[in-house]
Amino acid sequence: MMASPTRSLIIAFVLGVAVLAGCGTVEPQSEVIVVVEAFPATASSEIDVIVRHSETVWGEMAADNAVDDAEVVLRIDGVEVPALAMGEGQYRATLQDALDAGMAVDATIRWKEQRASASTAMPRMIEIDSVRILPAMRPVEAVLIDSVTIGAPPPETGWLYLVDVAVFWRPDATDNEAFIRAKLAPERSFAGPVVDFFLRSDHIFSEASALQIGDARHWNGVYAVRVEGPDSPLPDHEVAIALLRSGRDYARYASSRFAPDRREPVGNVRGGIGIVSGVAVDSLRVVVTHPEEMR
Amino acid sequence: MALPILVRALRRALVALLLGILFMPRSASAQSIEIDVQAKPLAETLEGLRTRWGIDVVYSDRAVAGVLSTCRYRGDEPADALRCVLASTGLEAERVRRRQFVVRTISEAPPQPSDEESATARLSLSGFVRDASTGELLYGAHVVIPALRVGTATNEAGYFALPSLPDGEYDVRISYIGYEPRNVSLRPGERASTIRLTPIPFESHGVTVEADRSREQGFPPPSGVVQVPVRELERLPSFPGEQDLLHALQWFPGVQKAGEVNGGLVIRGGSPDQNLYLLDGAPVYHPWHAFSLISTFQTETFSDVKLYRGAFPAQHGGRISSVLDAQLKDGNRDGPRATAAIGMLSGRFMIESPISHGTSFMISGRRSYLDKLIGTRHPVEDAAGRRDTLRTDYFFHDLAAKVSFGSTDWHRVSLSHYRGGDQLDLRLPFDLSLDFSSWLRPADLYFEIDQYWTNAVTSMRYQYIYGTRFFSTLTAYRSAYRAREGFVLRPTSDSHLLSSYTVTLEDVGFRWDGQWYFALDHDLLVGVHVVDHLFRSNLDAQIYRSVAAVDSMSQYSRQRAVETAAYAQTSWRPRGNLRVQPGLRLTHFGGGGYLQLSPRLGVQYAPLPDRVMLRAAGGRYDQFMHRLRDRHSFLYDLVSSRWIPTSEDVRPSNSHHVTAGLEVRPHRALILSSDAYWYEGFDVLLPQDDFQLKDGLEGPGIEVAALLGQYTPGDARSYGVEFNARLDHRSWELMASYTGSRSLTRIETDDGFRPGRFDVPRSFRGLVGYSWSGLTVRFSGDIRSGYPHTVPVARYVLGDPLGTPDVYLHRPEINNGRLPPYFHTDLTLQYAFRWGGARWNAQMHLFNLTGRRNVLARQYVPVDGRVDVRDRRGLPTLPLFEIEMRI
Repeated sequence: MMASPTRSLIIAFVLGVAVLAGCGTVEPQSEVIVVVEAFPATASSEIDVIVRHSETVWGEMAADNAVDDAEVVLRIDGVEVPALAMGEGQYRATLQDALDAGMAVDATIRWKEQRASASTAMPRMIEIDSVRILPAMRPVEAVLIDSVTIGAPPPETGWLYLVDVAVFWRPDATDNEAFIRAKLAPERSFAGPVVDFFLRSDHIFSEASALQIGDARHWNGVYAVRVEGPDSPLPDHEVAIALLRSGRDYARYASSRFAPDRREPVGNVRGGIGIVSGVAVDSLRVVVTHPEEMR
Repeated sequence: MALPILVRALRRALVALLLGILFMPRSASAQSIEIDVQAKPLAETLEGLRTRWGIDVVYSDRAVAGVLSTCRYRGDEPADALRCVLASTGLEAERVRRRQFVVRTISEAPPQPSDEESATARLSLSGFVRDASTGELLYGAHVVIPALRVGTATNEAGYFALPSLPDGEYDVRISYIGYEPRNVSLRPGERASTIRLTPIPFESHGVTVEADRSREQGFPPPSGVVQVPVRELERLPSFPGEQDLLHALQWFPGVQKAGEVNGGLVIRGGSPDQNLYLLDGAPVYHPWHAFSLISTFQTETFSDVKLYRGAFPAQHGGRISSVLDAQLKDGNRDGPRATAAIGMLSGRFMIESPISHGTSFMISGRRSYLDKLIGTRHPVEDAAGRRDTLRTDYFFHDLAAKVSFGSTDWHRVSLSHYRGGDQLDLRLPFDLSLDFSSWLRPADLYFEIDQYWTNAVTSMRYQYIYGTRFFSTLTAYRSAYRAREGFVLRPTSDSHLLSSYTVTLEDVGFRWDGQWYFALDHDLLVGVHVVDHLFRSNLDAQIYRSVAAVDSMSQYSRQRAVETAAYAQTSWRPRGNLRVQPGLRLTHFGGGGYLQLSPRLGVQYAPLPDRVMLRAAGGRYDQFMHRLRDRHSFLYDLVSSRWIPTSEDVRPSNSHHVTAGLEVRPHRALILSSDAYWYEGFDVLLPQDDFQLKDGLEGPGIEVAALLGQYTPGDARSYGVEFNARLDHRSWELMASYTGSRSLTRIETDDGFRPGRFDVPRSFRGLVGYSWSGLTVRFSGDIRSGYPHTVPVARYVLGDPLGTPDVYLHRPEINNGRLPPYFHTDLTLQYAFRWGGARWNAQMHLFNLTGRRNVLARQYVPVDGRVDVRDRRGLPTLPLFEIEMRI
């Protein structure tokens, strides 16, 4: 015969198990959330805010998830500026003066019961001083893999021209917190998981860490163009070269938006989803030809 | 919400358990004793003292036969009462401990006491317990004097001492799981005896062990401790059908592997780097082979294994979750023995033998043989005469050896060494296909992987007994973990990378333990542990993106810290069925200059010896090193275990554990046990960004500051209850366990705790086996909740000034969902036979009998306006085999 305290303890354990047995993670429910996107640009006198809403994960994505009935209020250095609905979720605020570096931009969006807000500061203008494009003299053999997952078709080899691009710009000496995004967007490019590790066509980095030559900082990028064989010339193509200066919020956002299957971008909107970040952008387009015929 | 209710319920259960222990029925202690006998047989009077007044008197029938006693006494002193009863009988009573006496004749002249004994005029009964067939010392064997209802357990050296006993012959009962209990007659004060226990023989490799389940007054293992004879662990199925200690331990509740067959051990919700693995007292930092598929711990090479699933005693420290304390075999002292086996992945051997009187050795080895089957070097040549040598070299190996010296048991020296590791050396073309013949050609575009990781542990122990009451153990050790990761990738003729990354962690440690058996109901363990940790890492990498774009990285990191700990733990038995073990550990860690005091407490109570045992333990625990991994770059930290010490910027982790449980034996062949636990961890390093995975060649590097930026201090919480049933009856064996638990984490930005990565609310494991005429069939199963994973709750479109809008999935909460339940069954067939003078054991193991491909990970991918769910599934049915020979 067991002592009664022992019996009580056994019962306590059994009850504990019974309680724990019902405990687990509840399957999450879908929700509709306001999504805000705004990239006010330095030296611009207009600010466009795009407002959308999220939708359920499952089923076909609706073609129209724009929000046209939101209330969008912007404050530039504390001065309220109304934003008018332009349709398809776009709201535009027209300023008397262009946005200047250091200005504070606050955005507040009210939609249904939701209130989303975000703040940003305008960066200094950025201007591409010069670019230097150096295509390879001949194509190189490369492994062409579409996927490194198990079960994917076996990889094959092909031929690529590697194109080096150096971009030069004047640094912002007043802001050590500035981040730069440099992007090369050739109209004909190759992308594959292994070769991509070696290419560098989109890069976000701290401006202070960029190499400096004289008064200019510079960045080196590499992209690839696929060709038929070892004797194929580099096809004429256009490449868009862009430099973007912004702050830490944008750097965090831009560097986290490349893997939609794994993560969502890190935004700065409170009470909603999205990003509001001041940017300064400069870009140019260059036609790249075979080395002997470079124009 | 169910969670607060659950928390309250569990807290109440724990409080109820602790209160139950604190307010157990007490024996009469301060009662007034009244005796009034006239010429009454002394035996009846003494029996009356026992039954009526709770005075436990031990006497021989011969001594009191025909003796009458006359006494009139009223008072509350048992000694005075006995003096009255024994007056004029020629007998006297000697107090053994509180309310317990031994009656002996006054004329009995005690033997000349030693200097040590003279102070107390008491003698110690001491000895060693050994395995009768191998001579191995048995750790944890119970030694009990039933007449006095006193007992103890052997220490790590198989030694026991029962001090402060009056002289005389005592019937002593010695028992140990898996061995025939033995009754011997011993006399205190003599040199230590050696008692040999005979193992219960295997019956066709099924074991009948019901007889050994009775432990007399021995206590079960403390709460949360798994202490099972190695012979029993060897029987438990493990993947891939070979001897593997860490796989076998998964059959006990609260222990699971992080992955289906790979990954570290997750013990009661703690993360794998919070476990301490000790091999003869020295730490092993990376106890895994084959990318954590199998462990470096070969079950059969150990004489004793003890797993503390939290709440460990004061002599252990440095981790906040668990401690595995494994002792290599000394080697058979009775004659040479050899074991050899070959399985799916590896072949192994073990040889043990006496060398001379008191000296023995054990040596064991294991090596995988895949490289021997497919070759390691492949010279190739194409039609144009170009030559190349491709490489496909992978193997792992273990070598363990131990030599024990000591012509007497008073001095023993042992020297043990373990070395094991993995080596991977590949040079292959990138465009691999399933057609192996297509590989064998000169490769212009190729990859080379050169990786190795090794553990080397050397430990020396010297054990010495001063008199019979003081047992001293000196341990000196060196443990080194080294890893190298080298890569050469050439995906285009003009692009390639070269990288070399090395990690080293070296410990040189010294430890002294002294165990003092100063009273029958008290012993004290004190110790000092000093260890010098050296951490080094080095990275050299060059990335040639094109002819003109070259990045290089060269970094070196070196840190050193001395950890000093002093500890004391006493084992106090205020009553025969109650043991209290308070302890204290004081640790100073040089990295950051931290000084931490960690109290420990263990309580064991056997209200119904042999039937019901209660136990509880708790304490505070500290960990002064963290394992970190860069979460960005593929160039380094892929397979290495990189540890960093605490510093002024990195606080040590600490935890509080409370665990309580009971063990019930309704039948001699059946043990039921249950434990509840609560664990709170503080300052554990958790990923700053859970979604960040290695996704490129660039990373912040190996500088500690950069690495720390990827982590943030957080809290961890685990709690749960475990039920375990074990039945061994004739040819049947049954193990079943259920664990209901939660494992939660929280970082600074979280509102509350969220499910941890290995949170498993419900887990059931079962094993049933039947042995018949050499054939053993075992069916085992594992069903548990799926691991948590992050489920998106919405999707949306978001753009960028330099790109086009993309569709994203909103994941506001981490681990807000759960993978489907995990279900897995195995079938093992063993056939034992004799042939050619050897004992053979052939085993066929069917892994995943039902072929269910469990979901191990799930990915949500936005594709063309919809979301695809992509699952990564587990292994299919695999037939595995092993054949073993013993001579």
